[in-house]
Amino acid sequence: MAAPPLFAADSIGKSFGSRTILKAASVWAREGKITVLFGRNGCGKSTLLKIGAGELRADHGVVLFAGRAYLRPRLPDLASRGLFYLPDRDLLSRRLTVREQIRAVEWRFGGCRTGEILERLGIGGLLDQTPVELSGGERRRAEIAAAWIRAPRCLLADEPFAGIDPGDAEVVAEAFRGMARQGCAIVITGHEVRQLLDTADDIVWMAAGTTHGIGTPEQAVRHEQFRREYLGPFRLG
Amino acid sequence: MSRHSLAESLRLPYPPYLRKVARRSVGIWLLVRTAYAGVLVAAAAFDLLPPEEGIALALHPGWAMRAVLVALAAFLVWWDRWRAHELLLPANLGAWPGWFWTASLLTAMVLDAGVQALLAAL
Repeated sequence: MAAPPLFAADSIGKSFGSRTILKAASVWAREGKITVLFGRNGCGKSTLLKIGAGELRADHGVVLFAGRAYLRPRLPDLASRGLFYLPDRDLLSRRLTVREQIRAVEWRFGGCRTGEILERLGIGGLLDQTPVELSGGERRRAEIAAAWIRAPRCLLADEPFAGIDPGDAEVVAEAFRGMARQGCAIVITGHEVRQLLDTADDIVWMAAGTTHGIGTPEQAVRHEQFRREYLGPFRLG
Repeated sequence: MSRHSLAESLRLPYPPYLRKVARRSVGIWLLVRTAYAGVLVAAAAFDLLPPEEGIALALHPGWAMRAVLVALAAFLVWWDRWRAHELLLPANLGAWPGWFWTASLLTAMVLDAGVQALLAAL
């Protein structure tokens, strides 16, 4: 029997004005596993992740993390217990160097593996630059380095592969695998199907305001409705 | 208890973030206060207010106006920090959610009290 999830955003509902984005959507993450949340543009993946991270308030539903239930979660409270939220952009301040921001993480949580992580993500030479001086891929690697140095129990990453080249994408994917090997429970969203299927342990598909757990990547690509309505002509190579 | 463990138990953010908010609060409060005084002096100069009243209000605003100026300065600091994406990483590091507003409002209030005391003494 699978272990209960470390993190779950359960039966979440959210409307913006008269537009209902989420009806009863759920996503979860198990220790040492990578869950990928797929769904068409605008279906509410980022909204669900923001609610799970306590950055946005749900109309209904509950967030469960590390054995506690939160009706109104707040990121600082979840973060102090081990959650890290990586938004689709702009985690890092534009006006501080990467080094200062990495130091902020070390100051709070220690950083016995900082050197190794910076080397693995290839940003050792970029530490004295501010994020605005970096390319999209470099910035993304710096953000993931900050997350990894924090050594979170759970990472929620919104579209981490968007807009980066295949080389950077592989470095980022390897970082997620490395974090998962250390026991981190990870949720990733995105549309980079091949990369995400290669990285995932578990697939959740969001459509029409709700979610469907469809199992492993192999089960996902054989899932008739998921193939027809989301993957389209995509085939595993 | 070391300074670091005290900061950790209070869930304070990394000190450079606090210092930046304090510095910005000083600068923006001074701007807001100067702009307020400038508007009243200009109003007096254009005969929209009696000159003595305009200058008196510019130098010694009432409590409500002082509170508005402090709150406006804190809001502008928040907007500036938000634009610079300087609030998400501290939140991700578990800093106490009220750290920003406390630091910004306190700095502006201390400055307001100091400046008003100085003006009253002159």
